[in-house]
Amino acid sequence: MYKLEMKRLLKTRSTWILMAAAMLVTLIFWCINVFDAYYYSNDGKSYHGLDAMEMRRIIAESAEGEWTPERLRDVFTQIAEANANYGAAADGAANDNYGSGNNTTSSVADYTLTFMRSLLQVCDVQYSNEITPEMAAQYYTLRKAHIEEIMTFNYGPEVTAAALKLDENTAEPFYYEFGFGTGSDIASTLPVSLFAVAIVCSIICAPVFASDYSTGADDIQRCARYGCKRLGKAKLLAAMTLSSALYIVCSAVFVALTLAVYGDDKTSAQLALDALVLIDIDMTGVLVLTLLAGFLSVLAMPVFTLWLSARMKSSVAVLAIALAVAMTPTFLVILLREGALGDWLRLLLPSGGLGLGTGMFVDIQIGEFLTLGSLAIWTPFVMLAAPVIETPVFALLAKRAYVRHECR
Amino acid sequence: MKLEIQNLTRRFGPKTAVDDVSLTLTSGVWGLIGANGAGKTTLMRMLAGILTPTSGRILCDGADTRAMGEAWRDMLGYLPQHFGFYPEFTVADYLDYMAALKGLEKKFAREKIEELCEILSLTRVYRNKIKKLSGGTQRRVGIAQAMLNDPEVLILDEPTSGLDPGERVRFRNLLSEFARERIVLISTHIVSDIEYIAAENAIMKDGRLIDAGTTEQLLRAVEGKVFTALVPDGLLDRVEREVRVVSLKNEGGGQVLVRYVADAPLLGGSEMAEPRLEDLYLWLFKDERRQDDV
Repeated sequence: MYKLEMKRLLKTRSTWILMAAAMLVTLIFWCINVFDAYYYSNDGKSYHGLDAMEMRRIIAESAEGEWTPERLRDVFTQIAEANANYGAAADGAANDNYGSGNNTTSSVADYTLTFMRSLLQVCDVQYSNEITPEMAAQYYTLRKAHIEEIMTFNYGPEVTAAALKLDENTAEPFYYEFGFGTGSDIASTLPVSLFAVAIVCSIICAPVFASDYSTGADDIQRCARYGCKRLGKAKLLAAMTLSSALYIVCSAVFVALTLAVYGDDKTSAQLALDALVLIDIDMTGVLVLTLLAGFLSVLAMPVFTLWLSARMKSSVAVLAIALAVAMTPTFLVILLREGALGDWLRLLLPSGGLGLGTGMFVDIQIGEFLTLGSLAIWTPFVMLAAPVIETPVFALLAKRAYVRHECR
Repeated sequence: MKLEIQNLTRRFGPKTAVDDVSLTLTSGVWGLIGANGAGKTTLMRMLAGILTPTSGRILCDGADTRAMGEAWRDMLGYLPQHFGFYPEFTVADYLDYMAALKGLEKKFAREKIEELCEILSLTRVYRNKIKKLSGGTQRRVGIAQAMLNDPEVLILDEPTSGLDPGERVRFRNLLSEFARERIVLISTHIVSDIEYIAAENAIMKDGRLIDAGTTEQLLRAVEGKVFTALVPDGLLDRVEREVRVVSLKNEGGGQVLVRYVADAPLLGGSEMAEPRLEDLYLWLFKDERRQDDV
């Protein structure tokens, strides 16, 4: 029955068109990730695409390795000396004030490309030349204080304690290497690409039951020996298999091609993303978590769509509601960013793990917690747990709705 | 075998589509007659198990069909009024799919599909997509799927709509042969089809079963009430307004032979005629608008 339903789905032309569209979107975002990269060199030359990536790789080389407090102090001591000698400090990217062949120059260029954001945050300064060697050496202590300050300001002592407890396992010193996480724009391209695939999966699932109701095909099937429970189960499993397979193939293509160009990335997420990353994780780990959260959402979103499809007669109405629900976390991020209600809704919806301006890549670095009384849960955990619960619940509801359905 | 419909009622909100229908179906072809909205399709859908009755039950040889579940569906073949199919399927794909849904053995299914395609003239279009077939051919595919599992109870809602006269004759013969030791229930607007096929009939009106029996038994209700008369075609408009006309036949020379039903002859030169189901239909559904296909 399952094979039969898979065969039927794969015989549908619209399924192939949608799968091709998902793959095309994936490749477009991969191209944006690779070919839309820019780099402006000290001598005024601009590079883009693979050339820009190669330039970034070259200047990032000397920054690779562990960033111990001693190394931080040394580098900032050199910067301070260079500032004194050359009169003006660089801020941001590589600066012409430092001549080529100057070690300090290349160091500045290197780390400003890597974790300057995290340093500026933690030292609570606006420009890098405001960071003294002593402040830099205190980076790890200041980071803890920064977490405490932000959490206390946003939530209160209980959440602060929970956040610091989570952060206890973070291994120090942090590590840097050039790769997809620090070299490419994967933080914005991958989530959008995955979200697009999830939307395509929902579109594929929308007519699975509803179309049969509206055409009357369901009336005939329901009278067959296996046309009720077994067919309902087979339809659910087949649609979920197809969604999962599409997601796995598209994300694998995106990741494989990105890794082929940029290479692996073991940079600590605290350096590459934000000081508020509260677990011991590198960029490869962030990528795996993002893909996992996406996969769980890609299971939950189509199953939710299948539930709607099992309840309604119009595929268009099913699709409209499914898309509205899929987009809701994105709108909630814009409209209710500051509210706990917005966060609860955003994360508990089936599409909570994916979206524009939301999703694992975002939530892992913003240090947000969901609170309910004394309960405080880090939002990435909710993002992983919610679809694990929702998928079987919606699957059961969909099967039940299909079995009990009666077209009038 | 025996199928007992006991006090079956189905309401949709305030509307009662089927109202306390009781009927016992035995082996043979049964015709279900009634105007649009009489409740025929609702009754058939309840028999097929795709609509739950508001009250009442259906017993198959004493067992409640709802409780029988798969066992009931195993012995059932159903063709709904609107035949829905997957547009991407060919006839072969569709019949294979339905055979698997019916849980048929592959070998049996292959032989049965071949046999039905032969009988229903589907062999030539076997590899064609169903959506590209004519309405009549699609209907034949629908009939084939309903008969795939050699059902003991075959329910066909408007099976002959869209079939050409030759196909209808072949279909009637097929059903007559098939109905031995089986129950076949047919609903159609084409009353003449039922007249040829059905041994017994049930008549529904406004959701209620108003009569049931053999064609001969039912026709007794209009015995002496069917007449024919020659009428000048200039008077035809007036005759149609005042008399319940069953059929008109141009006899040439400005004369039209009118067949009508009435308690007593209303037109000059009227002769009594042998009643048919069509006459009974018009007699019973005097309040209904005349159906184009009657």
